[in-house]
This record gives sequence, structure tokens and C-alpha cells, in this order.
Amino acid sequence: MFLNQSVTLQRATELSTLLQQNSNVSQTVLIDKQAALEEFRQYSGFGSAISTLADNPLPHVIQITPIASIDNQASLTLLVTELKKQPDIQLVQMDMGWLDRLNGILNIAQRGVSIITILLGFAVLLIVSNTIRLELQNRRDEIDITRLVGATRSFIMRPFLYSGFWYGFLGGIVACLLVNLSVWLIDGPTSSLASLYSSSFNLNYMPFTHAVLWTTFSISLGVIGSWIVVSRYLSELES
Amino acid sequence: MLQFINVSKRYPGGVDALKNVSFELQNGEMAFLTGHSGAGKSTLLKLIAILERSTQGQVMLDNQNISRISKRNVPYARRKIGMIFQDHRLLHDHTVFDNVALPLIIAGLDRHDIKRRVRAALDKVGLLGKEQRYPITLSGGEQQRIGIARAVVNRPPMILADEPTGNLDPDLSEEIMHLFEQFNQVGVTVLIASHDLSLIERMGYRTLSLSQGEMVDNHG
Repeated sequence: MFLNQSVTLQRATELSTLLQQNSNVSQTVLIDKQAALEEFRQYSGFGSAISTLADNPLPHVIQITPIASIDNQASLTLLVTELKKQPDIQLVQMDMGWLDRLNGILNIAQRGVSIITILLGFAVLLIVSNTIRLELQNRRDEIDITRLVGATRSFIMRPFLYSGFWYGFLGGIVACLLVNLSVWLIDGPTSSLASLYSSSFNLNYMPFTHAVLWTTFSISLGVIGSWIVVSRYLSELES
Repeated sequence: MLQFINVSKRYPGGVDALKNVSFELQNGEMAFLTGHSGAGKSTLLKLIAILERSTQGQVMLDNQNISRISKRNVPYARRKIGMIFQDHRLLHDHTVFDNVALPLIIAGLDRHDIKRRVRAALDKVGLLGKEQRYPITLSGGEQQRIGIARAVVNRPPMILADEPTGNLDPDLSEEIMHLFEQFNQVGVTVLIASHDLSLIERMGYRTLSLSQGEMVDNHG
């Protein structure tokens, strides 16, 4: 928020404190014109040009961070309109484009994650059923013989369902470990990227309840996969 | 115990493996089944083992029509028959003990009973003391005895043997046959499919002969 040139530093400080009390504002930072000029001189490369100016052309600036729960455009626009009603204000510039882009990227990432989840689920099913099929081939004689001496369907299926259970369990655990490993690996870069956007965005490790949920899901996939394969195989054999 | 009533079996493609076969085995009877390859012996045995179903007629086992039995009940019907095969059909990655114990494990007996009955069965076939050996380390005759021990361990009312002496020399064959006689003497119904006509003649039991799917001789 850029203030009028005529506004004094004292008035700017008052305004900043006032805005701080707005329920939609989480934080305000006052950048006074003198400090802004110093910063500009230092970073813009126009240092010598600025020295020739008679007085400071920059206004005081109040940087406003809205509260995190304001995440849609409408309520942000409302906040901006509210701010514009204040006297002494020249320009309210909202970093809306940036926010929209971020939301867009997050949406894509979210879809991507869902797609990968579904694909990985299918992969688990396929891998487990293929592994079980191989095991079936290896133990074909054993199955035939146990059938001949009067084994029921469930007796024959049981060890394969156990295998499916353990494959699912191991798969789930490994997946959770991999997710946490990747979080650990990209946590550093993301926080430094986030700090460039002056955001405190942070990656979270998988909570324990989620890990349990995912492992359970993976176990059910393993058991279902092996059940399908074995019951199809046995149905082919049965007269 | 076992009764075939006008049983026919036609395989897909129109091959008649069995044509209108009828015979009956009384409880505690012992009989041989002979016939050339392709005469229908295997098909007849498969019908008893419920590996195939008859196209026509009834196969009665212990007063139950097993040719029309539901899939769910097949395993329980099979437990009434102890089956013995020419190629033994043993689990080679399991010990002799585990092989013989298989039917009992399937039936869900407790560990103590299993141990007792496996030892009794191995004792009968003369393999006591070789429980922890692997089948591959034993001779052909001994492997066949493991198969026989497995067939009788859960005391089925009937034993079905498919060429049990097919790969054995005459002396061993005779020994195996005497083993079957011993089981027969304690009341088990025995049906043995065999090529060995001279041995069959010497034993002097009832003989069922198949030729081209028909029962041509049924005397005893």
C-alpha cells in the first residue's frame, strides 16, 4: 500500500498500527521512505543517479499480509476496497496474479498427486497379482496334490492370501517411507523457495494416522489382488 | 461302496471315453481294473476322483451321487477315497512326515493326533524311522509306500490306485500288492488299475476289463 507523498512518518506509523487491528489483517510492516531509498540505492544499480536527486521521490509503504483464512479472490478484493477508503492512500497494489498462479499450480499438483495415487494403486494390484501368479505356477504340483487329497478351496487359497497381505503391507510401509524420504529431500529447497515469496510455507511429514490408513489400503489391495488371481486359477481347475 | 449306473463320458469333440458302464463294488471288496491304454481306465478313475463329471448316468460313492455333487462338496467326497498314483505325486520339498500328514492337516486334526497317525501309517508301510528324510532320497518302491501311507493315513473307506506298480520290478510290485491286501483285510474297499495281467491273475481277485470305453469283462 503506497501512501501519499505528503504523509509524514508519524502518520504512517499510526496508520500501520490501526490497520493491524483489522480482523482480516494478520501483519503490517511499515517501510519508511528513507529506508526504501537506501534499499533502492543499494540494489537497483541507480545509486549515483539517486544521489543527484534533491529530495526522496519514494512514498512510505505499508506491507499488509492478510490472514491465512482469506484464500478466495472475492474476500481479498473486499479487503482492498476497504483499505482504499482510508485517506492518505495513493495506491493499493495486490499481488493477486501471484496468488492466482500459486493456486493454479497447487490445483495441478493436487490433480497430479491424485492421478499418481490411482496409477500406483493399479500398479500395486498388478504387481501383487503377477507375483502371486508366479507363485501359483511354482506351486502348481502342490496345489494339484492338496486338491486330490481333499483340500477345500479356502485351504488352498489361505497361504496365497497371506502372501498378498504381506506384499501389501511391505508395499504400504515402503511407500510411506519413500514419501517421507522425498519430503525430507525437498523440504530444504521448498522452504527457501517459499521464503523468497516471503511465505512460511512448509512441507509436512506424513502423519502417523495417514500412514496407517495408506498401509491398510495397500494391504486390502494386496489381499484382493491375490484373491482374484487364485480364485480364477482354481475355477479353471475345478470340474 | 462304489456303483456305476449306466455311466457314459463324452469329451468335447465327440470322443466317447466310456459307454454305458455299470458295475458295483461292495463294501470291503478288492478288485482290479484292466484294459489297454485308451480303453477308458483313466477316465473311469477320474470320475471316481471327481476330476471329471459323467455325461450320463450316476457314479455313486457311499450312497452319494458324486457325478452331480456341488463344487463345494467335492473336497469332502474326495476325503473318502485314498488315492495312489503311478508317479507317486509327492511333495518333493517336504519331508516324508509332512507328505503323509497332508490329508490330516487338511482335515484340521491337532498336532498330537497327526503325529500319532502318521507314525502308525508309516509303520504299516514299513517306513518308520524315515520321517525326516526327503522323498527324493528314497527308492522308487519306498516313494510309492509314502504315497500309500498318505492314502490311508486318514482311514478312508476306499483306496483307489492308478498303476501303483507301473514303475516297480516284480518283487517290489508283489510287496506293494500285499500291502493293499492287508488294507483290504481290515475292511477297506480297494480298486487297483493295472496292466500287469500275470500279477492280477496270481492274486485271484475280481477283475473289471475295459475295452474301447465298454465294460467287456466283469468276473470275480
